[in-house]
Amino acid sequence: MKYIIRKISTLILTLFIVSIFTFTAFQVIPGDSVLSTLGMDASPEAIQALRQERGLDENLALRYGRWLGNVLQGDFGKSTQYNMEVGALVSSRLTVTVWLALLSIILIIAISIPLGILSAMKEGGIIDRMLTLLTQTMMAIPPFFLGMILTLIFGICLKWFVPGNYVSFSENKGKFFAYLIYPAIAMAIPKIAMTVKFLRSSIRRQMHLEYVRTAKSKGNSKKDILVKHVLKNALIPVITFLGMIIADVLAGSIIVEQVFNLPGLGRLLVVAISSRDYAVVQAVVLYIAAIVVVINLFVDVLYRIIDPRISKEGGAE
Amino acid sequence: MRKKNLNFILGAILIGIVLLLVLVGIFYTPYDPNAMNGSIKNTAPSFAHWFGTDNFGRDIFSRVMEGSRTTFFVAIATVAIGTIVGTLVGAFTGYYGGALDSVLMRINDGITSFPSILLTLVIISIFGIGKYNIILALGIVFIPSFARVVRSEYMVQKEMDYVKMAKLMGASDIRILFIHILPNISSMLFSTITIGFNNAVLAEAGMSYLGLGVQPPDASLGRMLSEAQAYLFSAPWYAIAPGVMIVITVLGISLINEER
Repeated sequence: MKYIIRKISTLILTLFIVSIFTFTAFQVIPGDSVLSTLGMDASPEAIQALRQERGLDENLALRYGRWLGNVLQGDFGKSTQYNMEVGALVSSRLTVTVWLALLSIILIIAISIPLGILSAMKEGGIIDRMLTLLTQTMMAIPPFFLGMILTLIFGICLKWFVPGNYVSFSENKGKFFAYLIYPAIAMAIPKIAMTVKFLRSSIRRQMHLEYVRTAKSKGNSKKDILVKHVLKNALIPVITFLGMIIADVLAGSIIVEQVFNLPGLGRLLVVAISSRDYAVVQAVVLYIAAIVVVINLFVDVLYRIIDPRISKEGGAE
Repeated sequence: MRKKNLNFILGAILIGIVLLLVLVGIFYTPYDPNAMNGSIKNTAPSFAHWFGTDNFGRDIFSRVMEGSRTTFFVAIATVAIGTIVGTLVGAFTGYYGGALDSVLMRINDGITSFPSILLTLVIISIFGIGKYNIILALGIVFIPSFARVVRSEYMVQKEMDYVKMAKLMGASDIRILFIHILPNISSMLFSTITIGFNNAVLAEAGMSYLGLGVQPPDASLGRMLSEAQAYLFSAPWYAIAPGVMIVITVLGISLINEER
């Protein structure tokens, strides 16, 4: 319990630092949002007026304080490009990204764990060797190129979906997922490869430990040892690894959304960066950072529940 | 044992092909990579144009050579920033320890727990887009991971007898850090650099694909993929060529690194 409180306070501190970073980072940039709205040849009076309206003429700490106050109430300011509330804009785009990441993570877990076990069980055999080469290859493919290949195969050749098309969640749930599955696969494949590799070496490490030798000498079969003893221990580090993967998948969707023309957070962020719409950039970065930090906390806690040895060590300090 | 060799040979062949294309590309390309020719837009691969032509009638094979060079340049420059700064930070913090070390490593942990794509995007939105800004952004993002690896190596090495001996013989700290210890961690550093290079190639491709990295008319592998996207239907070979180039580069290096 003490541990969780300490972790949550670290989490709040981290988010606080991230918020300072994201806020100040965009204040030191030369071209400001006023100029990009009004254009370079706007009159000095008009510039001054808009600067005042947006509160850009006060000092940094004061502006940060007010900005943070607003953010805590869910008010991220106004998008200069879409001319609408950033909060509403971001939450309208959140659905796609979250579902996409979720779908991808389900695929990663469902496929990589059996494959990793298979690869470790047949260590050195033909299946293991082929899987190893295959995972190396899959890790070398950038997800957006995979997305283009999937579009080429399933969209253009097989015509299973219309490339560049999108059906919203509220419109038709079935079609929504039918369109989301291809980008989810594109994001999942390299991560599946990584997880298989990680799990395989995790199992192999366990296989050389004393308790496995003891179990072997008692006459247990290799499969029995693996299922009853090794797997439990080998899967623990995989949980932390998956926590990192989840954060990566979430961020990776920024690029993959572009390939499939999905109206998610990533597309919003990229367009906002190109058009210097900083209120939107700040909001999206904060959103993703918050999600990542919360996932990290969740994984940490889960880790301790599964492996009580760690919480004992942690309790000693 | 046999399998190890096979993978290593495969990796060496792949890297050989890529290096050949990049090196030859410095002096010679079959066509001018930026020369447009309206009469041969989006033609399929042929003897005259091995990888076909793009929407401006530019020779894709020449552009892949040129683009790989740009991608390599960005990746090498990125890794150089990460290695040099990361090694300096890692060496000093690992060797001296102390309060600065714990503060820096806390910050380091914080930074590395965030996805690198997000961090790169934030830095790019501050510096602006372009080839040199992407190098700077990726370089900065790479520093923490290099620093962490180097630091942990220095923490181990500084307890070794040869370091204690050198100290007794009156060697200066700088001499111990960079003449005595650094060569001893070179094998580990090499492995970190190769992994870093792969990540840099993938990151350049991703950022240029988003339109935030290398700008037209310059070719880079990511930039080409982004241009190819619109012609996936009419000219699929346009996307395949730079994409496969990325894959064989990264695969080749990781196979060699793995089996070294």
